[in-house]
Amino acid sequence: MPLRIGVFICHCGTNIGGIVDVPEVVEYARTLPNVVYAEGNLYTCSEDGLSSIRDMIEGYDLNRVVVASCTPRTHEPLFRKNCESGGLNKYLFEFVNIREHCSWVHMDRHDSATLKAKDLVRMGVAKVSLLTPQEDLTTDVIRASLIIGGGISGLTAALTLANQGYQVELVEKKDRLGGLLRDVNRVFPTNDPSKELLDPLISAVLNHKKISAHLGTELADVNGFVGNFSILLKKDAGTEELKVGTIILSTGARELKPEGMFGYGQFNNVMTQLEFERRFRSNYHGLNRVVMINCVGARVEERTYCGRFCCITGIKNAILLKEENPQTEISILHRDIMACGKAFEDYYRKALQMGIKFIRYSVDFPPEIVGSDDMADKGKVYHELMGRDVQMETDIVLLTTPLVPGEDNQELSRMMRIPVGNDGYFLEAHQKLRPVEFPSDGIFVAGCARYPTEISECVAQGYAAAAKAAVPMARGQVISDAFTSEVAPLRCSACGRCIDVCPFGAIDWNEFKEPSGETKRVAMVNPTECKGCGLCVASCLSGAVQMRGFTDEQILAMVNTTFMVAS
Amino acid sequence: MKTKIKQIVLENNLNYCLECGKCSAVCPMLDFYGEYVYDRSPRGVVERLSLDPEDIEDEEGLWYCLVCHECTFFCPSGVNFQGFMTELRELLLQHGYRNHAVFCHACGSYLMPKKEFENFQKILEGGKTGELLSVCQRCKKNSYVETLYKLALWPKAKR
Repeated sequence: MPLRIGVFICHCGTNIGGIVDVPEVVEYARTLPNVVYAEGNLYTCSEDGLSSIRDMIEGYDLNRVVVASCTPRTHEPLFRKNCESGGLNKYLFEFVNIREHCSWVHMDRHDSATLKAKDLVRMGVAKVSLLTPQEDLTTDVIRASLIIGGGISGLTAALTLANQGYQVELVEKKDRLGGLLRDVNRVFPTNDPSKELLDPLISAVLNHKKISAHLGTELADVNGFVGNFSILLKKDAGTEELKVGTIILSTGARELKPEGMFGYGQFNNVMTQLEFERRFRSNYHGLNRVVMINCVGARVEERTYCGRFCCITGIKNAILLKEENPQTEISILHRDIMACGKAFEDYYRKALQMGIKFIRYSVDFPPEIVGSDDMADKGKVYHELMGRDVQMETDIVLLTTPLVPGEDNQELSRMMRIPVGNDGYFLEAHQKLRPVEFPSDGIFVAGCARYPTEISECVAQGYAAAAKAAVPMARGQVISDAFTSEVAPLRCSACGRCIDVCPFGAIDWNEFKEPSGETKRVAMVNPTECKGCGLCVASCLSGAVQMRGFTDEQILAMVNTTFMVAS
Repeated sequence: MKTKIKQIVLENNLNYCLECGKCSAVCPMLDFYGEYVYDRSPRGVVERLSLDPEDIEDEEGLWYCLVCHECTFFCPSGVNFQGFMTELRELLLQHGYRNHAVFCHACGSYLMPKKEFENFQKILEGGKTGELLSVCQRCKKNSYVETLYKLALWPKAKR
């Protein structure tokens, strides 16, 4: 079938039309090989422009479409869909960016911008000639979800998914559900006991017929891709295999033990906030003078992040102490008070009102804790504004430490091919727009595994991750883009470089029968896992890996036409 | 007395201080006395007294404030420094710390801090107006009324 290419060039109002001479580019496009139709539109993405594309596909019997306008990031799906409804395979469409790549960056050079637009359109036409029709891939999704970690985030996510009717496999390393919140005494800012929050949730999870809780169980291996993960669980000596469609990671974090700092480990009455809450649930008898030190091991060189809610935790314990005995003298030595969150500022003001002293210290002059034998009895801090040391007697010293990433994070990251950030926490796909997802499909994150989050955020993220995980399971199948890489088995030299570089674990070894009858080991791409990043293509030494829609042939055709001079 | 000071500190929300320093920035101390001293500034006083109100009885630094309300007006956190200063001085005077205060020449009631008084005298270069400063409002009013009364008693012919 002869090629019949249609080119649509967008003015984008004055965004492109004000700089590039669009009619001239349209005229030029008509002279290009195999182009049977070209037009300029005020806005190609408007209904006028879209219907024009559909009409011309029919009227001129077009079998390739090029749109030169803005960025594929926002508009490619729209134009592809439009081509599809016009009766053309959606992968026979090529997008040329003459806004971000041309008019916006050459605003003051109209003539050269027009020349460049012509070049870009010519390259697009060269590429579109070589495109071949592709079909989207669909795979079935197992309607079950694995939730790793039974803390507040995991419990929330498990209950949400189970109530929607999906089978949930909840894996917890410890013998009890509840996670870190179990150690917490009362929660800010309501001062409710943590038991009141946890117990109903735990009993609901344990009694739900759609949830099977695997306690004292660890994850041994994860294989597969969205819709079809196979999981290997390890309990005591035995192992168990599971098949799930999605995974939610809610492994949480642990408390920093500030060994060697401020007499921790040296004095018996120096402890972290969480240790204090574990030891003193309500009876604060004999604690008449309390010193707390905030930012212990947080916002320092080796741990640059802020613990997010440690300030409030300290304030909470101070308020509880003060409520028990209003005569208690409490000094909180802090670097800044970070009381951001719903009603937290009021909580902070309440503490101020109750007469809890807040003393700022500088990181250059950290406080000192002195004592005799195994008891600390005095705190000393340099007051910067007054320019002198302030001393306070104390019965107990509480160190406010941040959460630190779980010990298993690296291992889990390797197992599931999900990224871990510099600070050791799991790294989400996008900090703002995709906070509970990973770059790999079908795996989601909730709670402190991602960053220190307080309870309400953990719950919110548990809901969010559950909602996200429910999407592929509700649809029953996942549709993935056809632009994935493929290996030509005859050319593959089985060096394994592509397997190493793939960030999604989409490539694996496979047997291949050669025409001669021999079987050899070759790399094989699983198209459902492939995201089309192209790293494997670049890494292949023998040119065996090609990316659909970006083959060497297509890209070289673009390169070859680049240096033809536009008239 | 120490407990009493603590009570005044709490009542006037000195604990609310966020250490922002707006109070010291708007304090007319620099204009009036010609120098800025941290220990005399609102922030300095608030910091120290909310921490440990010890050995302040005879301290001169507490007797510079003009009780002008500027700092209290600008405080973002609600520290009532003006109220605190008034109450604290009242308390100090009650306990007999009178070295740094000036009292009405006529009736002997508290007038203003000595430093403030001296500075006013310096600015006004003594004279009649300066003299007027050393008498409290009530005494001034009373002497005025006295004059009026005398005038009223004068025989009509002489008026």
